[in-house]
Amino acid sequence: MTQQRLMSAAPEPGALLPVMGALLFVGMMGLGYYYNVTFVQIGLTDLGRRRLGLAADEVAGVMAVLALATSAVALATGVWLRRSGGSRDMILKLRLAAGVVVAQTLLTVATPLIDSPQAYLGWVLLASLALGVGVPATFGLTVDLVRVRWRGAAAAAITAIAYVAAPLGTGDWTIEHFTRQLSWLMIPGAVAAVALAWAGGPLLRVWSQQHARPEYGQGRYVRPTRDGRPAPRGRLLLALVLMFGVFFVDSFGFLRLLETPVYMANAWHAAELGPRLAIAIAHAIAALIGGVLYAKLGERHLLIWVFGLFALVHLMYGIDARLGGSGQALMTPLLYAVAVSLYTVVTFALWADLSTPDTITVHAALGVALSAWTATFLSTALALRWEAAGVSLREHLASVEAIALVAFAGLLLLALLPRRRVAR
Amino acid sequence: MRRWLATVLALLALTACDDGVLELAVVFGGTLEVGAATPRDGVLLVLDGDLRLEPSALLRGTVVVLGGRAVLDGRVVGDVIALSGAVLLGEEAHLTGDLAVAGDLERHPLARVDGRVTLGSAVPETFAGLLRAGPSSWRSVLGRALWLALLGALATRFAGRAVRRLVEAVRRHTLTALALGTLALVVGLVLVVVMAFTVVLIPVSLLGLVLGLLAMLAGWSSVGIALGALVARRLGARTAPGWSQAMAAALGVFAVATLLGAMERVPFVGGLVALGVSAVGLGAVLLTGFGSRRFVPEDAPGEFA
Repeated sequence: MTQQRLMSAAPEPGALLPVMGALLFVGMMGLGYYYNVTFVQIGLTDLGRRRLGLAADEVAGVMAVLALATSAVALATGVWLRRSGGSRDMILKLRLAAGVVVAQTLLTVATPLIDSPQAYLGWVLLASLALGVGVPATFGLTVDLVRVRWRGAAAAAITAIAYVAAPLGTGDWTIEHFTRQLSWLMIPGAVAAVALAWAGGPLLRVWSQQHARPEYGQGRYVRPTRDGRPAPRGRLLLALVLMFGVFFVDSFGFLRLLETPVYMANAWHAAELGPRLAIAIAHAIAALIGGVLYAKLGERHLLIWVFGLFALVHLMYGIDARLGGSGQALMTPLLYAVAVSLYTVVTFALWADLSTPDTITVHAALGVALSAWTATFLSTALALRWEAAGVSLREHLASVEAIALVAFAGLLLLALLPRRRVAR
Repeated sequence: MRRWLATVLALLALTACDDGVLELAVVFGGTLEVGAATPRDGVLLVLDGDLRLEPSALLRGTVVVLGGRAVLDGRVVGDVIALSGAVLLGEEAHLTGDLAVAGDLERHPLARVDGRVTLGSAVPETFAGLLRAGPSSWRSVLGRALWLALLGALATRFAGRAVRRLVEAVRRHTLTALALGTLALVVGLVLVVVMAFTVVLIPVSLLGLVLGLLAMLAGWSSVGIALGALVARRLGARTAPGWSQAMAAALGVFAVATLLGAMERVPFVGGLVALGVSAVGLGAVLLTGFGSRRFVPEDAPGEFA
């Protein structure tokens, strides 16, 4: 179906409903991402290491299973939704998302029952199934609920919600704390999601047709090709490579910092509120900056800043490590927070801007699976191997800095190359 | 030729500010000693290493500790704020302002603090203090404003096209300029310090500092010129290209520079306003490459792919 026919078929919704839809999306993704950065990334590791007494490489192995299984399920779900036409079906995507929230709530509440490595692995496999379905379903809702011109702002709000709440609400990094905290949020959230997805009535009717309007359905970087079909051309491939690089650099560096207690105890895991509040504020301001710059300058410009910042931050950590590793300077984690917020904004806006309602689920699955989860898996494996091989903290940080610098220089060159003007 | 003229004028303007354009010193490793014979003015930022204020030494300005230690045994005319790291107040320490410490504090019983003492989680006040700096003297503010006004007038007269692009970015893309400028200010400052710390990159760091200050000057001037043009239009004054436009620009720049100086005296809000104006100006300079190209947002028709 051509865009023109879609445009003429779309109704004109009221002013309030589109805003409500965007707020629903921001709230849902903000909570989901908070769950990911706290419960999944920190809580599951604590569960394996502290409660089950597993070795670091065993826990890393289980987390690798989580990454790969989630990627596989996300890709399969994305392709299925694309082929079955479910990618355009907002109500189906919302119901899948509600189902994922219910499943993840049950799994979260059930974590106290995990008492063996087998149960731990089983839990992770079930979580992979839920998360894998959740990625294309929730990201797929972007084209239904968030106007193209609102996407920078929406992504900034999601990033700010997750990254302000994470350092402020997580002084205690234990699975028990996360389970208690998230159960309070997720149980009412699951009830509300199910109620909305199955009894949303008029709201759903309006929202489910918004993707047919060009201001929702045609991504910012989607251009008509010669045969008239909208496609993002080579930009999707480059975006996949760049986002893989960003996730890899972040994860590869941060994994080693996580294993260096002094860098955590003076920043993300500080006993006092001061440093954590400063990090939360840095995240929020950077998210707002990211939202504005994404909308006006595009993702490549932001990624130049991100790679440059990662190189600078790892240089600063390297200098600190050379001086004995006091880890006292708060500026370094603050700049780290800025880099993370900037690229998180890109993550939440880019895949929809490279997609149409038909392709969003498969593009989101490709983006999140290939860039985020695969990069995390590979960086975890490499970091563990380097640690086992006796690579020092300084050498590790210098390598991350070098990778980030190469990416920074490459992107800068790309930005300086003569560009082609596109006729509209 | 005009570009060279603008550069020379900007450098002249830099030298005209008798207190320096940015009164800021950073301790990043090692020890900075302030003795009785070497009093210091302005903000002192301790990122790592030690700041040592000897007995009977004078430090006029705010001390901000984000890491490392501030060992103070002299007189500080201003606030001391430590978000992290440690503050040690010796027997002869005398702080005339507030003391806010979220990190470690060791205080001799005879150490004097005239202002409020906040410890631990009273962080909002700490942040309010972070943006407070010792104000410049009025003579310095007016001198800086006059030089910047002259710079603005000459730039408008002799580099009209570049100025128009800069002013357009300030007026039509204020939020984008603010966002980019804020990011560049924060990262640029740290980058200059870190490069200096590597020793081998000290020349690059100095070059970056000069470029950064030139960009700030151009940015402040752009905001002022935009303001001058706006006021002239509101008042119905016709400003033809040439000296009348240059006069409007000079008045606008003078107003903005004086306002920034006045804002230094307003706690918290003043710092935020100054930071905002500086960020918008710097952002406009970056968006247009010092006025060498027109900024077109990526979402506008006819964009590049």
